[in-house]
Amino acid sequence: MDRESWIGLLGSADPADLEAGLEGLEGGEYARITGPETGMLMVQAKADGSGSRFNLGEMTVSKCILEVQGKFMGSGWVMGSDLRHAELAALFDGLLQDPAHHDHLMTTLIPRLEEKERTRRERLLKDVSDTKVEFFTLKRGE
Amino acid sequence: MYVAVKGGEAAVENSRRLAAESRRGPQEIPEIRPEQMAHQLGLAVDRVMAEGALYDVTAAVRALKQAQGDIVEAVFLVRAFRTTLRRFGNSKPVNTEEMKALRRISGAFKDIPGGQILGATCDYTHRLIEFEDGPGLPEGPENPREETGRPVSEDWEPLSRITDMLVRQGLMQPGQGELIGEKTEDLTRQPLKVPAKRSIRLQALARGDEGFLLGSAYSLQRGFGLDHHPFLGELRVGFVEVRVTPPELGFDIKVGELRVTECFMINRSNGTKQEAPGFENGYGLVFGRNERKAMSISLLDRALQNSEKSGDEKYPAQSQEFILCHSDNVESSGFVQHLKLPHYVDFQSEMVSIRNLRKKHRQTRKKNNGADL
Repeated sequence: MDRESWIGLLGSADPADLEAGLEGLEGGEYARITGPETGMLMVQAKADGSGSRFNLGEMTVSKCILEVQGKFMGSGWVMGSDLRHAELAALFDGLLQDPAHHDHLMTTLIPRLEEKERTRRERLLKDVSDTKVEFFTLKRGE
Repeated sequence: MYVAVKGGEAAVENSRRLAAESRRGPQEIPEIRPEQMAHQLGLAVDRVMAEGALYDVTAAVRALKQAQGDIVEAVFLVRAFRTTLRRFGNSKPVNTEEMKALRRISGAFKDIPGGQILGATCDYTHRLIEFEDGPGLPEGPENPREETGRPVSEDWEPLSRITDMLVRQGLMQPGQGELIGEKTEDLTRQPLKVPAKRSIRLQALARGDEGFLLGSAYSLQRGFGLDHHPFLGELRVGFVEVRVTPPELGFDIKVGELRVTECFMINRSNGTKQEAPGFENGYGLVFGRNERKAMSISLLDRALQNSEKSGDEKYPAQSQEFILCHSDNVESSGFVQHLKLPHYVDFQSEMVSIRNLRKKHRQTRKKNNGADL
């Protein structure tokens, strides 16, 4: 799993799962570089889905940059205004770059988050398959 | 001219407290919890986010609760809240083709690649109130879904657009892609000027008042600006990924997923000397589950594209100024409701003016009557 993927996973995770991931963790010292702070992103889209860009509206995001273990730059970006979530996401991003923590997190925290995401995906896909429809037209006068 | 008034501090303060009391209601009734609202009043929350132009469930729920369910007031609160936040930047354009569609229907084609998905809808249900002691569909595990036996997909497949199908068949002009270096104007950074570019129009419509847009779109359908019956090419509701490239990283990451509604409305064009007959698209994209609004936006988008091209603005819904300048409910509500503020001095001067005019009117009549005799 590359860094881009785990950052996405940490950002979409339930903050409670990240908090739980701290238990029994050795090390994890960090210093704050930026934030955590809440601000906005302007969400852009494309006219007709594929044409010129337009500004659809803003969304609240929180971000945080930490220096983890004195040498790893951890970055956390999350939807909404949960500052603690952004901070934890940044911390784990830093720790995942640290060879001393990487393998451990890859077998504990990350599979837990992936499992949750899989469950959500399966639930939504079941909703889709349950309500998929095949319409047929009737000829009149027969 | 507005002249300030003084006084009434105690009454104003008490009125504020009375409003808070009436919002809470009787103490013996449990207070509604934000998470209950987020889930059980989800469509109202979505509407507040769309018209507040800020995707933030927590803020929208709080605003809705504080506004006692008054959507327009909640939208105002959200707009005010967003002014307190710094903007970190722009997202990459969301890719709606890769939407995790939970609902996707077409009124034009029965067989569409990827299939039709009803999702959660009341479109095919009798609109009867489900009173507690009356008949209704119980919610929860005691009312399981019917087994369809249909296999569940492993992952989301990209859904190609219906309009692309029409383009491939040569019945619709391919859309103009983005020009290199094209600047995306932003309604929140510069005041609205008409005529506005389509990008500004789509932004304004996405945050416009649902009721106004619906009524205006309906006027088009009733004949005030639309010559032919429009067809729903496609309506999608689902999650799109928001991605951003943080400067500290230099590569793009997923920040989260937003629920949006997207609509493609197909309109017939009989062609001109230069253009062959064919179909044209009207597009609507809006935060949350807002089908009525996405469809209204699509109809208006088409009407405004048509009037931009032809210069023909016969009816209100064809006029950019009429639609864009009156669709923002924070602006319209503010201007209509400012009339509640004291205008005592203004009105005094109106009275003086009217009295003078009446005097003159009387004198003129007297003089004329005299002349008649």
